[in-house]
Amino acid sequence: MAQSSQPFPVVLEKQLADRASNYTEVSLDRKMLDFASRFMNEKDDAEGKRIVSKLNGVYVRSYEFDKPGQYTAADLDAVRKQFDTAEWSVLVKTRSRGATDDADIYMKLVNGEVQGMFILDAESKELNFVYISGPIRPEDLKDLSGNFGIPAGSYEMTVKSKDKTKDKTEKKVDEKAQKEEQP
Amino acid sequence: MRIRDFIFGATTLTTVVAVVLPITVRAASGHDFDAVVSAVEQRYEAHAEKVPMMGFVNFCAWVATRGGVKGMKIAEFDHLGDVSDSGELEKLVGDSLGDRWERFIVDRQRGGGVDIIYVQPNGSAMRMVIADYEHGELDLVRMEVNADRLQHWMKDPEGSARRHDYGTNGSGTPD
Repeated sequence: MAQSSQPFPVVLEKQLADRASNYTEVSLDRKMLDFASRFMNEKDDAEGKRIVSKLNGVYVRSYEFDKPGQYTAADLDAVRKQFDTAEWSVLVKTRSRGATDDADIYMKLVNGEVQGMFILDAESKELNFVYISGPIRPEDLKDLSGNFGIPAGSYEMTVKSKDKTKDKTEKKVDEKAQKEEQP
Repeated sequence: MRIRDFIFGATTLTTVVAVVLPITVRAASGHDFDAVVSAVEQRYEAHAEKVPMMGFVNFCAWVATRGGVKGMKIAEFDHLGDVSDSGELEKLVGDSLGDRWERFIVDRQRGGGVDIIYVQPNGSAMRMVIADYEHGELDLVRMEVNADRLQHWMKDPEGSARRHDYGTNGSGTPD
């Protein structure tokens, strides 16, 4: 059987896909990223290419539903619970009235180094998961959004959300960056 | 000058056809794709339609992209019938390809349509199998895309044509 067991962390992905009217899955491992990045423009996408060259993989799952309520708050809680571990920390968390436009961004920290990012973007009839494996900073999304299946606007989501919420994880990342800059 | 160019071009083309095409055709004869076609034929009791002059189409694709695309195979099922469970079709394609292939993209649409792309790295090239199902029709395509060659050609199509750069290593065989 061809490989379908991707290192995508969300266990509910298949159940959600069965309920969605439209479902898109994009899985790029290291080799595919190498291949795809060769088609990026060396001048315009130079920064994007540099970021991609360090990543291990990009995995995107997008679900569109016919009507609201086809995924539940319990589904989202189950997904969020997967990132409630010592390795993962919440960077951004926004909640809307009626849960019609919620977003979470989690960072994976290993020995003080960012080694992954997970984005959960939930709207009433749409659900997007983006998992980026490897060293990545929130600002890197500016160069990656719209490429590799990462929804355009992912970076704007982090900026908007960061204005509302700034928690200890971001501070940790900032502190580490400052330490590195100091001689 | 024009006559010399013509003779050089004709010689190069003849060499390419004589030496490289059999290699290209051999590369295209992967059992993986045939296994998918066969599995679909058996499961849905349908018969794949052959694309006429596929060898020529393959050669044209290879020349047109300066070696960027090769090893094309196409199978068309015009009357596959009702695939009520596109998940079953996805599984059938994946199982038939085997574990050397990785699922790259799945796009399931409202109304039962589904697009699936499986990939297999092969050096600097990427083999792809694409399955596109919609309204009872299934198209299966296999090809090998050489990123370096394709990128080279995309950047400078005229230059690569002038240099007769067909993705060969100088000895007339594909690199």
